[in-house]
Amino acid sequence: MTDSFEIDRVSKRYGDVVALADMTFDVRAGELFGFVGSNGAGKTTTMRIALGVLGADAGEVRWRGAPVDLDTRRRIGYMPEERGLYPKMPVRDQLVYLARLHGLRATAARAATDYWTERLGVAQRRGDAVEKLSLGNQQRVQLAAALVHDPEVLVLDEPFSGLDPVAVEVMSGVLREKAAAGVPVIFSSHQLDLVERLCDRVGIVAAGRMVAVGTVDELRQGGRSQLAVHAPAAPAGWAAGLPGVREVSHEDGRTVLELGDGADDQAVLAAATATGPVHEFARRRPSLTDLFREVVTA
Amino acid sequence: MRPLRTVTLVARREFDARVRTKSFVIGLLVTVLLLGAITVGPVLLADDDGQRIGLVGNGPDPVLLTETAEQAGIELVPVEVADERTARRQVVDGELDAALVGTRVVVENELDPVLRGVLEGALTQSAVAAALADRGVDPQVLSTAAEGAALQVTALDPPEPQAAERTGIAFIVVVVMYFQLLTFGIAVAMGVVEEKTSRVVEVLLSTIRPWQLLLGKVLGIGAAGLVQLVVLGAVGLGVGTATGVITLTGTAVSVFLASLGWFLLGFLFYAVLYAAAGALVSRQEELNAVTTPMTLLILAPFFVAIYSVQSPGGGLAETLAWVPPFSPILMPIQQASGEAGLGLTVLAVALMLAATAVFTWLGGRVYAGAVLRSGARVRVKDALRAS
Repeated sequence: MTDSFEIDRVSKRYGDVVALADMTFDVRAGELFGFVGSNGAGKTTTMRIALGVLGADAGEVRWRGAPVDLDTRRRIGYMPEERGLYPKMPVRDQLVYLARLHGLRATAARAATDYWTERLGVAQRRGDAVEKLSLGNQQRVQLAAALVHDPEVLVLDEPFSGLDPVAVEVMSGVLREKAAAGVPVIFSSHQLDLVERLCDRVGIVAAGRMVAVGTVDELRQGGRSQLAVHAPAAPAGWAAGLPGVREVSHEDGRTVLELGDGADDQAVLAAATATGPVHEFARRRPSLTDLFREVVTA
Repeated sequence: MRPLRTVTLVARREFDARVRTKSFVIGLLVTVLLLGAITVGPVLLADDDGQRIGLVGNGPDPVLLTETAEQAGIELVPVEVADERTARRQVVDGELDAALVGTRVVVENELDPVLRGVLEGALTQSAVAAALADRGVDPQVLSTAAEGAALQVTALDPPEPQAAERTGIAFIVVVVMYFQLLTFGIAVAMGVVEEKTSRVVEVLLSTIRPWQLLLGKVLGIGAAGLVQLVVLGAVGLGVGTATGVITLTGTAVSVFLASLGWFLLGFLFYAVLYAAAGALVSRQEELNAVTTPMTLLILAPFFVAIYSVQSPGGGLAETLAWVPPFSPILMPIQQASGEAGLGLTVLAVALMLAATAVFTWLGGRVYAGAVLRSGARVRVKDALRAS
């Protein structure tokens, strides 16, 4: 597994507070990885440690099998949670400067700046000081700052927060494109529907630990599955006594059941038809939001 | 990428960020104009024509009057006036400084004591000459006798003829140096806080090292300060020499060059400390509290300098001139006054370099340990432990 970005048993504590405890996951080349978790779960801490702006107490961050050092970091694109640009510096100068700090030559830096400001729709603001731009446009410039040196890895902390739907589309498009080009892309977000739609794999963090990681489908299999049954004539408790089945809710003939290990959905269907007509019998696919709630409250 | 290329990139950004602002350009223009006004103003305002004195009727010989005035060190321009009424009007109008009517002097409000002495001397002398001439004494005998009685002075410790000019140069250097160190030192602290407040420091330090950012910032802002100092110095020297205010061109040029060197040494020392102080806080409003120690360190030699600028050879200023953080402000005065020998200068530079090395190392550690910590003010102890 050479072309992967690995976070390996990284720990960090502040006094008695454990911020990260053996945080471990990896993001492969060409993969869009969604990093989700409640506020304070440790997402930002993990990303800051990955970029070297925060020291870890233990553990290692590797890219292509080698520990990440300053030279490697120069090839990572980073968008910090709290946006960071010089407020009074013009957009173009700023992006050229950041590109050059990442090792680009002047001409390449200018070309990349022109390309990304065009691509992200802020080309006509190149000469303006960053502070004169709207927050949404500042965020586009911030993304341009993470992309302008053609990074090998992208680490983005909450890149979608505060963006309008058009900007979300533009940004999603860029991230997909980078992933398709073989770049591991890690981003954190609270917009779980977006993460579900966009990401190849998802990691759920709680209290400084990675509690679930995998594709959304894999996470679903790990979760308990549910059945929605609409049988108008069914009395309350009609499914009680079936092995492995628990009633979640029952209202106006609509019942939601949770199936545990060894439960047989065909036995449930038989029990339902026994009560009268059945209008609906469906396996319910839990959304990422459901899975998240389940994992975090577990 | 080579580490020093990164430092150069940072330095160039910092330099541009200072020099391309309107405030830098306007500030420089205003300072140049002020400096010009201070240097040239007194020359333009000075009354080069001397005092005009009106003579009505048979007064003392105008030649005798101007000669007596010359001996007293003032310049008199005698003007014949037809009558007292005209003389009075001209005194009121300011065309004449005084008018002599017989032995009576007409002035606007009071008679200048030196002018009084000159007039009295001239009147007495012409009265004595007239009285002796009446008794058949040759006026030539009289003036020969007077010449023989002229007072001669032997000074055991004569004042240096250009002492005032040296003091002037020293004073201007002290004021300019104080402002440069303070202004650009605080500019460094503000630059550090700006990067913390805007969080751009997090983006920067994910790709470059803290020492590269610190060094680049100090060099870039220092270069802006040096450019300002060079422009000011060149304008001051040029205008001063052209108008004849500066006659000690050699001294002025060497003091100016030495000041550039002392600015660099002083700036390096203070800038890193200012940067470390800036790194401790996250908001510009908190900056005052943490930069006060450095500001006092610059203020102290400034006051010592102002009090001692008249007698740079004496006591406190001479002693403090080679104490590291004070030398950048105090040494140029010693040099302007010709008090600083090569030995003292070399010693002061060596001590300053040593102190700068120690404090740059310490300040750099505080900076590196604190600059990524936002929120509450970081304690120096914690910053040192973290770095």
